[in-house]
Amino acid sequence: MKNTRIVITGIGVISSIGHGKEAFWKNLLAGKSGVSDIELFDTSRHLTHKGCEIKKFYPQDFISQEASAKYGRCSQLAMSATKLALEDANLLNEKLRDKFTALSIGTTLGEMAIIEQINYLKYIEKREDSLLPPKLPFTNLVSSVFDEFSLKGRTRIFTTACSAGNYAIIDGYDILKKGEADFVIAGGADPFSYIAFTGFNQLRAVAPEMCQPFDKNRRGMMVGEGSGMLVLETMDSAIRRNANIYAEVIGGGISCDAYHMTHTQSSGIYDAMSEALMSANISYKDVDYICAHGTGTKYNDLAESKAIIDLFKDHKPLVSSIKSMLGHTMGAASAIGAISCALALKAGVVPPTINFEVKDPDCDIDCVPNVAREGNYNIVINNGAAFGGNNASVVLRKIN
Amino acid sequence: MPEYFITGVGVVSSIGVSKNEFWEAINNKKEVFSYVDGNKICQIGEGFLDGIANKFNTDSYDRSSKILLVAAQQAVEDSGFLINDLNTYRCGVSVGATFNCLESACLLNKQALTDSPRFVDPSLFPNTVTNAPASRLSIIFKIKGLNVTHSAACCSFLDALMYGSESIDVRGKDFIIVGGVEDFNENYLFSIDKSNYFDNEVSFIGEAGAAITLESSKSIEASAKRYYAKVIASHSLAGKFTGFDDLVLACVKSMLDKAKINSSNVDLWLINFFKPDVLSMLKEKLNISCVYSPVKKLTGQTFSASSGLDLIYAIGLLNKGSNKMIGLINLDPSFKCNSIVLTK
Repeated sequence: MKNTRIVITGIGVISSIGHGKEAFWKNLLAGKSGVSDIELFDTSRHLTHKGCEIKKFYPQDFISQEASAKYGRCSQLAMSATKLALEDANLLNEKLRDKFTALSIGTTLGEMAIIEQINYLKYIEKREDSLLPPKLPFTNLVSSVFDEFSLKGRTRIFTTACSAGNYAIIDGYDILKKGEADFVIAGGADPFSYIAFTGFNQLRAVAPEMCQPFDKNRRGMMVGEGSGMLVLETMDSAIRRNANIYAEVIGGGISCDAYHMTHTQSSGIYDAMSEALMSANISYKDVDYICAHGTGTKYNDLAESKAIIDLFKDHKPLVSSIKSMLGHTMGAASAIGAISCALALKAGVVPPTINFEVKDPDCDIDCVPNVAREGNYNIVINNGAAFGGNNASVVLRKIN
Repeated sequence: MPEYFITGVGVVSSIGVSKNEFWEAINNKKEVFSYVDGNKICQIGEGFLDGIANKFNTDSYDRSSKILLVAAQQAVEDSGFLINDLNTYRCGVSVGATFNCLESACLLNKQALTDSPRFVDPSLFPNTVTNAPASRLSIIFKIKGLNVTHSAACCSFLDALMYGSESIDVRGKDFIIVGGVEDFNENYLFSIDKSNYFDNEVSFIGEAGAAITLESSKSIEASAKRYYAKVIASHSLAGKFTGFDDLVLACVKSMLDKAKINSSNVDLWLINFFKPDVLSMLKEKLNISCVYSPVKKLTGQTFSASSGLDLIYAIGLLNKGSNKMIGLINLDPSFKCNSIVLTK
């Protein structure tokens, strides 16, 4: 099984800059910002007022009316992105009915938006809505997807906060390597959250106007929402099906800072990337591009830059942060990052870090400022870091 | 299939705050419960966690983090495994936790709504993420290998155990703390209560932390240490089958196939949900006489900790010598089945 090759054959994304791979990729390369005034709730008493909300998301466009009504926004996002990924992989219409499908989804808050609705009714409107509690369980996130697409197999929900999407992809990679699943659907989903927006504001981690990763004058992150789902299968299966292959997953690394709940350590990110390179059996010199965690906060960008400089030494892979456009989509972030990496390998162009103005000498990396860059990219790393020091990195390779 | 060794056990529950107390309490059918607004509750003894806060400087930790920390410390001490700078990358943490974040999240939410978002205590925020208890284990025990949290309600602990086993198998780890935790959480209770999930008789809410240490055969051989039990096979299955019975049947059969044993080789089967149709089907199709685990009736429904408590109960039975092989069947009653088999 060690020689089994794992490839990405389906991509689905719902984001503040577009739904579906075409719109998402076009806007990502164009450097379109998903930042806007927040409309989901009143921010007049918050320190900041902008975020990366998905303004036009109609779940019925993607999933059944019944599923749309039954589940909360997190499950709706996950089901919708899964629909797009399965469609892209040509696996809809019950083609997976008799297959063993492993579904791994990462999330930070799950259906926390339901709790927020319950609390709003309780404290502000002084009433209850009995339809809300059944939408709360985390398990809805996987049962909704399995129900909607008539799947059977194995499910896992990773709640490793903002790197959860990468944990899910690595889990999918592992199960396919072991030969224990026919197909994997892996990714992440998180809805826009009042609790997250308030919490990050109180940590003074949210930028007022825009997200400027690696910029000397960066002022923080933008809270966002979204979902990214990928279909993985073995290379043999993809060839048999004549599937469109985006990229090959060749390794993954997981580490823990073991230091602090909120202060990212460069050593932890270094360890995750280092383990990922080892598992992929490649040298740091082979890496052409890194899709950074790149939140735009002072400390995260500093820690990640240091980890990259320490690990890659004189070799200088390109590094960009798509969070400059999408904001921080929490548990979906690294899954959407992996989608961006797969599309970059396929197209031979990497997305930019937008809003970049002044180089930070402490972040001495080439962050692909403001304009996408074409090139012959063969191997890329996708980074995720999270509260609790939960780090995960995934390595993808171009398919020639 | 590779084998994985359980070398340490820790438990914090309403009926006992150490493995021996817990095993004795089950033998004696000890019950500790109270009522909150008419709801039957099994809570860990008042004051118990205060001492822990002083010992570990955990004032800012949420209740679940404290509960799990105590259980995990018991398990690590019990295992005799020393985590150090040389082996820290070969160690990991795999935890099941689902509803633990609700208390802090609701408190933060309430402060923001009723006072002002600007008056919210920022120290609450790290407790609003589900991975806080697992992350704090890594921080306290200085474990730099993997750290994973699984949120699958009643199936969480066995998900965490299976992930831990795979980490030994696939990622070369030697020592994994596997845990499960939930704390009594008024917000959860009052949310879920509306859907009539709890009836105060068969099903009522509890809180607990369960932890075991799982080691590779390499680690066991190197230290020639004793162990409580071996996990010889596990399987997880979910989704659209003809019916839920078929899902459970397929899961248990696959697990037995992996273990290369017959159902008759297993001395005792424990199941975590009382579903008469599933029990009849298992008897008819696999000649399995399942026993509804007595743990939940005493500790209440502890969700992510529940299958950990069942597992620790099974370890106690194995070590008393009355059973040589025990199977656990763990259901999310509408969707998913996890099954494992343990042997002495």
